[in-house]
Amino acid sequence: MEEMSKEMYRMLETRSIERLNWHVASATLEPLTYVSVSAKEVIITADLPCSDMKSVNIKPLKKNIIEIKAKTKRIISFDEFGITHRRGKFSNFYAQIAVPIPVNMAKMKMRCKNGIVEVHIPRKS
Amino acid sequence: MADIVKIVEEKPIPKQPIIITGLPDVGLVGVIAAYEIISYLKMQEIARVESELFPPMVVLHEGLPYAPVRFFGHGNLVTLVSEIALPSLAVAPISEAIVKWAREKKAELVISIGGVAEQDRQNIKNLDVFGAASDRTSLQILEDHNIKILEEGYLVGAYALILKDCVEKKIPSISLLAQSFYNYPDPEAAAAVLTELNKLLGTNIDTSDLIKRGEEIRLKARDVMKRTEVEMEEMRKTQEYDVPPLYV
Repeated sequence: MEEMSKEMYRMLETRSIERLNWHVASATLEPLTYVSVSAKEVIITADLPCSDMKSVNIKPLKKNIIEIKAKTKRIISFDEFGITHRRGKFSNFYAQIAVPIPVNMAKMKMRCKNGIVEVHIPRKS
Repeated sequence: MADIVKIVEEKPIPKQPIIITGLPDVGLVGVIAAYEIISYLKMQEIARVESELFPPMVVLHEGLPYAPVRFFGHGNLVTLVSEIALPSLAVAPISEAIVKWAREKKAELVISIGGVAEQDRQNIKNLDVFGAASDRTSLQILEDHNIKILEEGYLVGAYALILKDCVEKKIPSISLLAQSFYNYPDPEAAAAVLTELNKLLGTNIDTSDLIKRGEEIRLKARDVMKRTEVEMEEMRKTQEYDVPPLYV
């Protein structure tokens, strides 16, 4: 599943325009994310509605990319939104997020609140 | 030359209506709140907005096609809602068309409901709602209802233009903006706006369902939020975070 998610992301990343939020083959949702830079740190947030906050897993992939994964509290399907012409069931969130400036990944901290994960990474001095 | 934006009336429009606009903006606050108004008051579709600046699309509901931007009515209340992200190029013409239509209908009041992005939103439990108005009389209405005034700052987007056009056309207008996330759908902010709207209009729109279904709404509204974010970037929406340099 993890490999599939990564492959999906690599594939979608190459299409910078009209990237889909829902990926049926890997049962994965791409969360909305936001990156901001302050004087001392980079703050990255991701909106993970209906996710199990205990399952949130965040780790650095490269010196400028972090990965966010989470499982949903239940299986989410297109049916519940009244979408009858497409089949799809989703059980995880997955995102890779580029960090725009050099940071100290080893000192990354995270917290979750109300279905939103917030990651703080100190800037490299 | 034909109008770039047309408002096509489908049913009789109430006289001297109060027009509430719920357009896509930060946190989709206005859209989420407008849906709740329409649903709670069981409003009926009364007009649609057409424009060649919109994407070539319809919205299907129960197998039937509808315009993505429509007006709904109940009594003298009229609510505008958009089911799509408005292309930034369409924002000025649609704002102008709404105000022109409001003048034709001799609107008693135009109320724009939405959000004002707050960087620390995640740590705020009790959201503030701020108001701005087109004239001193409308400002007094806000003060009479103990609504905090957005004293200084910038507004960017459709609500900025609606407020400006209402000043020019002498239509009383109010913007009600709740602290919200910038690019995450924010049902709590929508509930906060509706609480203040209830005070203003004497309505009793229940917001508990909005809070209860919050996570579902956030999930469902992701796609429109994402597209709205792209349009907000086009409009330099983050200028709302800026501090005006002068006061004259």
